[in-house]
Amino acid sequence: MFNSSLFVALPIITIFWVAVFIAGFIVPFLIPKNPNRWTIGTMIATTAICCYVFWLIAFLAQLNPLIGPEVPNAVAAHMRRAWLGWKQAKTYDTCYPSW
Amino acid sequence: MTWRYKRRQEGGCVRGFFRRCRWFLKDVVIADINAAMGSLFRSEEVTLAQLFLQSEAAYATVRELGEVGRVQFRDLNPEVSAFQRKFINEVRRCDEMERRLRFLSTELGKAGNEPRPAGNVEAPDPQKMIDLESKFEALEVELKEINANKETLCRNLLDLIELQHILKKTQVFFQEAEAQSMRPGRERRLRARDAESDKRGLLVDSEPETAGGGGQAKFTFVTGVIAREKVPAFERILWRACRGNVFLRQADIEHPLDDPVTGEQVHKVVFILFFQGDQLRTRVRKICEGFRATLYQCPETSGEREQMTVAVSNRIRDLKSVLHTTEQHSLTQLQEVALDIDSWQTKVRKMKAIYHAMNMFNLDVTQRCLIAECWCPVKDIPEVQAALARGTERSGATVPSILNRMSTSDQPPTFFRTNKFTSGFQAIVDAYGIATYQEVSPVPYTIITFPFLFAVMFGDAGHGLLMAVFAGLLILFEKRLANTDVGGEMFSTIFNGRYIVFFMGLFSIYTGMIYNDVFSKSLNLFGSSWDPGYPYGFGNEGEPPQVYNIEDCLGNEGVEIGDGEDQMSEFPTAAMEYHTPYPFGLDPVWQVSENKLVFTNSYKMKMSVILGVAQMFFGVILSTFNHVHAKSYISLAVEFVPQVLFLLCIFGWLVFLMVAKWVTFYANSSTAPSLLITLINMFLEFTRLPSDYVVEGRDAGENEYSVFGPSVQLATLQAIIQKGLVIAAVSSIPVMLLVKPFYLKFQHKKRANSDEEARQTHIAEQVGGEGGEVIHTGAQNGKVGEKTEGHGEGEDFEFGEVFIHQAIHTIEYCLGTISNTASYLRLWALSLAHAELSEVLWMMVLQMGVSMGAQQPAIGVAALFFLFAFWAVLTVGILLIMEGLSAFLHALRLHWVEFQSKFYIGAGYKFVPFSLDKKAMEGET
Repeated sequence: MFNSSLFVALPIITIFWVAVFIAGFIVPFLIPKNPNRWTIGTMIATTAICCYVFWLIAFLAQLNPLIGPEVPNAVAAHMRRAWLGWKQAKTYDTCYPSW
Repeated sequence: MTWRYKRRQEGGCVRGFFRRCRWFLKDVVIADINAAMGSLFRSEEVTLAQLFLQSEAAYATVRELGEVGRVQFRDLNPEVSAFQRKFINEVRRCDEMERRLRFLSTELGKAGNEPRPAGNVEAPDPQKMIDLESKFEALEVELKEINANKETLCRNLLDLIELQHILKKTQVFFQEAEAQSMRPGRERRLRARDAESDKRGLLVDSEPETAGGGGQAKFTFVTGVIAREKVPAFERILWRACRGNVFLRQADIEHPLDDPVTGEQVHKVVFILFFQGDQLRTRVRKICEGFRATLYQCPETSGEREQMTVAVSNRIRDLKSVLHTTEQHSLTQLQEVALDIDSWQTKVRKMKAIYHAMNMFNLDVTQRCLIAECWCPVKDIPEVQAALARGTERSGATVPSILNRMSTSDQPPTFFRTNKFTSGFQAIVDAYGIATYQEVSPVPYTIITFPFLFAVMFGDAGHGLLMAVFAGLLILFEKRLANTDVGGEMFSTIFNGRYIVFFMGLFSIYTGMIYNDVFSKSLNLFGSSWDPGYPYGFGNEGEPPQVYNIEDCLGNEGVEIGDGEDQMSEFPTAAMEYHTPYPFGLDPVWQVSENKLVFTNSYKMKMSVILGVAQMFFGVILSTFNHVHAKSYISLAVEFVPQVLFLLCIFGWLVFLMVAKWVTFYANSSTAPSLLITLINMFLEFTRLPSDYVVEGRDAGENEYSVFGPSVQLATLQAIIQKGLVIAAVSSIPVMLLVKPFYLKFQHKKRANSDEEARQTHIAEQVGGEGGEVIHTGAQNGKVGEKTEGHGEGEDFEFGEVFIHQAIHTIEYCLGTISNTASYLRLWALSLAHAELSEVLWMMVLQMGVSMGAQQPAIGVAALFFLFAFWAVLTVGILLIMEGLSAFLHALRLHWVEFQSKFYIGAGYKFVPFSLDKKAMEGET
């Protein structure tokens, strides 16, 4: 029951963008001669916020889905063949008739 | 160094740590940001300065200032008309020189000579003006003379050529006539002819040698040349005016002739007219004149004609050689001009600009000194002073020029120091309105948020990649492209915005990866989280009981899977492996699913609202910097705080609900609460609690009423929180509306009272004091007056005006918050449109070729070749260019209206320094 998305993807991407955000405040001190150093810093930090929020929204929206995808049977069969290596497939009727 | 020193001084305790943090923030970060104010956070500090320039040094000094390009002169005599200004004579002389140079450059253009581009040439000293003037005048006179000569020569040549043609053509006429005259029975035939062929006879009769009896008058003739298009009219008029008694023969000149005046090529016709008598002769001559036909004397005998032909061709040869020499002479002249004309033009233009600037100056009473007022960025004052010193030195003046800073109540111009990267983004903001002086500028954030919001609407990694590569090439070759103006205005617009386009492309790649759209197809990089083999699980090789493979499925309706009605397999939400979402972006399974839009619409709509509320909230936060900078702490307390409350209590809460709904797991997903209804009920069912619903028989236990979970307690908790939020949001409106105007009124009254008190004490002093104190009090009274003036608006405080202003502001903000949030939904709408368009394009065009190829590979490959071209053209034309433009416009609008309205006034005017820089001067003219 290891949730790889929550325990791997979420921390990695969060740490990455937080690091970029912090870099936005460090970079200006690394280029003290540049008259636009704070503009550059702001750009980096703003990029981090925008990109992280955008990723996070997509991630959270799929965390507890309210609906599942409806896939044409041919595609579903192909997915089973391609992803699961099934040569044959069982019908869903036998799997879960309840819903 | 300072770090260690500070640490030692303050010790290592907790309090010391906080103190060090504060020191770091205040003295390092803030100080550094302040030092970097040349950047884009707010416009630079600009000061008014007064310059005292010695009359003889003024020109040289202004020249230096212009080369530096850091000051904007103010017109000190706006009431003086342009014709009465001090240096109008010089300006006029420059105008005259410019006219002469224009003449020279048109001459150069005619001769096809390319002027040699000069680099940056300095404006010449004023003494050199006369030299230049005389040089230009001499050149103009000489060229005009050469041109006049050339024209006369050309006209002569034309005359001769025409004469030559006449001699050649008439020879034919005469020969024909002679041949006819040799034939016998001429008289008889002549009589028998009808009117039309009569003309022929006339011609024959006209031959002098054949004119027989003394009773018959002698026929005379006139020869000439006329433009071809005039011939029919000419003929008609002749016939009518002379009642058919004139006989006309004509012959085309095969080659067009040059018109010496216009230089155009004209087709001409040689004609010969025969008639009888002097009356007709004058009439014919008049008509010829009227039609601008040139008449030539043609000898009557063939011997004379031959002689003349030889003479004419000799003269033509001579004339041509003379013309050649003249042309050579003018060419050498023009070549010399071409070498220098660009530098002359620059010199004259600069000189004129300098005198224009000097016309704005005031003359000192002593006439020895010019006084100028200018705006100058405070940071550039040393540079300006250096320029002043250089000017004094170069002009050899004894007294140095002086720069005095002045204080003023006028609003200084807005100046941002931009470079090739930031100028495009600055232009986007400037197009809305130039920032008010020292107001917070949205530019540093716009650099990122603009391409980002664009990309949210344009999100497709493939299209973004194309865009980024295109803009990247523009950037790579920018030096080469900047100097050549290929492609016209459209291209130069895109070229100027190349960094914006590049960023738009980069962000589109990122958002495209999140949307998982690459040319409308998805990438399955990490493996879909939806398990197609549920409940057997991923990779678990279950033993399926039924033989079933893809070939059976294609076009085979008999295989019954799922509900069997629409041949759909729905993955239950449980089929998502352990609720682990796809780690980066949307799950690729949505791309092939039929209910993709149901999911993406919900996702993108919420995303739009979240991004919108975040950006608007950021805009409101930025307004604090304006309030603090203006030291208007009252605005901070009664404008900023209620604004934040209003935004966050309604739409901040909505965002919170969205996130909470995402995070919460609903066992029965059909009972998940509707956020829209929740938000509406927050206001409409303000007076009720979920427990009321239970009484009414509705089931509050379902999580329809709470995002937190399915219990009455949680629903009640949420309802109570919402009531508090509504109260906070609604009560912030009167605070926004009322407090500031009344506070200002109170302040004004207090100030007026204190002024009045001060005046009273003065009067009391005056009354009680001795006579000698009168002057002193007078002076103090003046001071008091000054003080009240210093407050400026305090004097004419109109409560009604202030209140109406505040009311408009409040209404705008409150309604704006709601409508702007809705406005951000365009992010969803446009990204939906873009994704759908590219998907439709794929399905209708490219997929056709692929499926054709699956059936008949040979035809499929050929068709695919053309279909791909079609698809590529449409992708670039519609999806990249048109969709790109529309997404650009919507991103622009979101920044101008929704974001900037929260803090940006934009009532400033641009700092336009006086500059002799070539580009700046070209921009002016």
